[in-house]
Amino acid sequence: MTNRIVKNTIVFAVLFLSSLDTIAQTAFDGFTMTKGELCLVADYGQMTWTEYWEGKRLRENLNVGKFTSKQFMPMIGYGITNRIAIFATVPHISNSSDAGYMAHMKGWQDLQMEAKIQLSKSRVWKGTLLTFGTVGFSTPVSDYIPDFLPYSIGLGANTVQARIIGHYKLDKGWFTTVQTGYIAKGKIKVDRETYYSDDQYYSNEMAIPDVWDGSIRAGFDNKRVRIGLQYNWMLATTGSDIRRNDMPYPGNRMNRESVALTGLFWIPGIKGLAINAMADQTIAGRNMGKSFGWMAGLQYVFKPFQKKQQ
Amino acid sequence: MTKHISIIITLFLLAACSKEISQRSLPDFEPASLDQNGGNWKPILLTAPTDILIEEPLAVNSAAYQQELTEIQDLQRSISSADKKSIEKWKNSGIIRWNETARKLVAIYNIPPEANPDGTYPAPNAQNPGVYPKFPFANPPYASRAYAYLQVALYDAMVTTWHYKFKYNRMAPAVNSPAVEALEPIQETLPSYPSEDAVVADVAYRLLKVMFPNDSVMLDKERAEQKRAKLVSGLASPSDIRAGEAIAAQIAATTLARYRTDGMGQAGGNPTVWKELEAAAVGRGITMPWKSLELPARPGMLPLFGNVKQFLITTAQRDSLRPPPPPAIGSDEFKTALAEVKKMSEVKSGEVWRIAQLWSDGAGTYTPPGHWNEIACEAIAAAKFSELRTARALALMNMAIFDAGVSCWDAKTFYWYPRPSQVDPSIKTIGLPNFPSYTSGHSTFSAAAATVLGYIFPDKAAEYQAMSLEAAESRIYGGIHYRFDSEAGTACGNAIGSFAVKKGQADGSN
Repeated sequence: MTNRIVKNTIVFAVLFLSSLDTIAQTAFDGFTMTKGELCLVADYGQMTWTEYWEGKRLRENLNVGKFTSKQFMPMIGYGITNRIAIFATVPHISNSSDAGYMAHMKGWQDLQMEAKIQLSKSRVWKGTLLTFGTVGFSTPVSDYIPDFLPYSIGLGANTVQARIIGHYKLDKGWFTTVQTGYIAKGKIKVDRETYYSDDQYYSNEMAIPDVWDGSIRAGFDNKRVRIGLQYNWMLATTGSDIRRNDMPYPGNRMNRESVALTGLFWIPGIKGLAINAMADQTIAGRNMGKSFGWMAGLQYVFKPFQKKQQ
Repeated sequence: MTKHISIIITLFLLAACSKEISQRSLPDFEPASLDQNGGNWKPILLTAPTDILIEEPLAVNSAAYQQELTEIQDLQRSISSADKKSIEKWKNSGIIRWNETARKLVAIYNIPPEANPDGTYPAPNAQNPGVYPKFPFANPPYASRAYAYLQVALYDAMVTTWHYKFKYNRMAPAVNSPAVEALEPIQETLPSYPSEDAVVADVAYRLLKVMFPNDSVMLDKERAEQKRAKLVSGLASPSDIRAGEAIAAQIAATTLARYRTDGMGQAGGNPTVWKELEAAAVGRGITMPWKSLELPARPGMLPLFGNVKQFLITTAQRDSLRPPPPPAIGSDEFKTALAEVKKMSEVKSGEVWRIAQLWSDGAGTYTPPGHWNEIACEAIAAAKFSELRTARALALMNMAIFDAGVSCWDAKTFYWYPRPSQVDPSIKTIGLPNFPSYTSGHSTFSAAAATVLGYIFPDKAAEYQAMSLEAAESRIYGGIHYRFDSEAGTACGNAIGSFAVKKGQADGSN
């Protein structure tokens, strides 16, 4: 029983924390849930940067100073069957900086829902190979302001995404996960009716670039702990660069690569309760902050609707 | 499974399709009137159209002119798809198209230079325009002046063009020869000597390349394209175009002579001057003089722009229109105004935020003067003005906007009054302009523009007034102006706008 619960846990996405335009990426690891299992997560995190890439040029801006994004992310996951689970999250984000006179922004961002489907399971050498597919969407839950970067809490676009995940775990606990996905994003309506990016646009609409992202992860998992190290990438497929000394805008080509350390620690004595934590360092980017972020929280996995055993 | 896949694909397609953004564009229109007495309208910088001299045109039945018609027939016979595209592009008002080009250039160059590592700021250099920071920094004062000179030159050029058109009455190639087709809508009774399009193309090119020297190649291409489009479409013969070029060269020279000596070159001042200006304001009772809140502190934007020569009013009139002193800092009136700014700056949603953003027109945009040019061009297209009348409307409005800017900057420098955030650093903004607070530039620009547009388009006068007041209000919402900044700016802008209205009423166009 314990073993099964250990297996069926979820570690939350790392990318989400440090990237304003990466909508929450949940459930993109290689671990499964079983039918009837409910997973509740409450995480808090912070992401900060003092330098950002203006196009490809790394610079600081004394009129922004140190930028901080504080994020609270509740999430819920549910195993519909042993092979299909669904996840939903709505983060609350608060963005500020310690210099300058630009307005700060906070609020509830986007509802993101994902369905994760186990596609295959097979024995390979001394371990198990699993593959998954996910599909999901996101949509803003409040009328937050997308066109006030970097203080905007999100880009305001509706998105749909699809993803594949490969996960191989040795019986001894070592595992590796590779996942990649494509996020299609729509256009948004903004309050400005004219703007210049790569050209003069007489429109109150902005096109939000699609994103190709993914991660490669290696780690160790047993009934007490799960630790992983991963490399993440996020590449916009279109978009323009921030002009020199200009402000960013939602249609910029925002790219980011990072490395992250993640951990999940089961609390002895309380079945299904765990502490999760992660740290993420941006190592390369374009039109993004060179951020360091961390996040930590609790997760609880249980079967609320299970009939009592006779 | 197949069903699932098709749902996924459909969702992706929906998201992908919805990325196409819809842009506003002006409707096609043909001028409703010839304005054939336009040669009698009063120009602005010229004394009279006869200041400009062009050759008498060749007679229609002359061998040389007939040869020109044959050339056009040849061009039409071998017309390329590029020519067809050009004709389509230039078939509506050339003046509006060049106004759009100017707006775009302003948006490209309207970004404040980045600080040097040592905390100083580099200044753009007109003698070396291509190195960072590129010349110009097309901030609102620079932009208002560029739009004004461009449109004043175009208006004088159109009056001159109309004078010679109806003096010589030589019609377009498509009218003079059955073998030449009109490949775009044509006003058959409008003489084509000189070609108004050639005049517009060359005036705009000659002015804009001085204002935006890095883009002279693009500008040259545009003017060549406009002239060729008219040649191929049967609207202008080579000699129509040459006559237009001759007018443009003379008008541009006259206008640029004024442009180069209007005092803009001294508008930046220097550290000694800045200290003196601050001290003078302190001497007038300002207890907390404005200081730059940027890091590192940036010299205020063009503190002596208020001394630049205006079009509509004299320096004495400028001084008499200067708004009365703002409330003493710390007075009850001041505290009430500051509290209002603080309260509005905390509203980051709904109409308050929308209005603040809509009129913001900050760095990286075509500026408030550009915004009003767009509004004017929309009304011009709806009213189907001739090129002459288009030029008049834009000249009157942009003179008022520019003069309003000069007067506003004069007040800003005279009072050197602090921004709300300087008094209360907890006030966050939509982006804090780097120059003194009193009076509001947006309010002054907008009131001047709205007054002129209300005169030209009386049916929409109330609408323009409402827009101008909304623009004034937007600065309070944005956390960057006190209400008294906006009110004083609006009053001054309205007064300057009425000078343009008087000029319009007396120019013979009515």
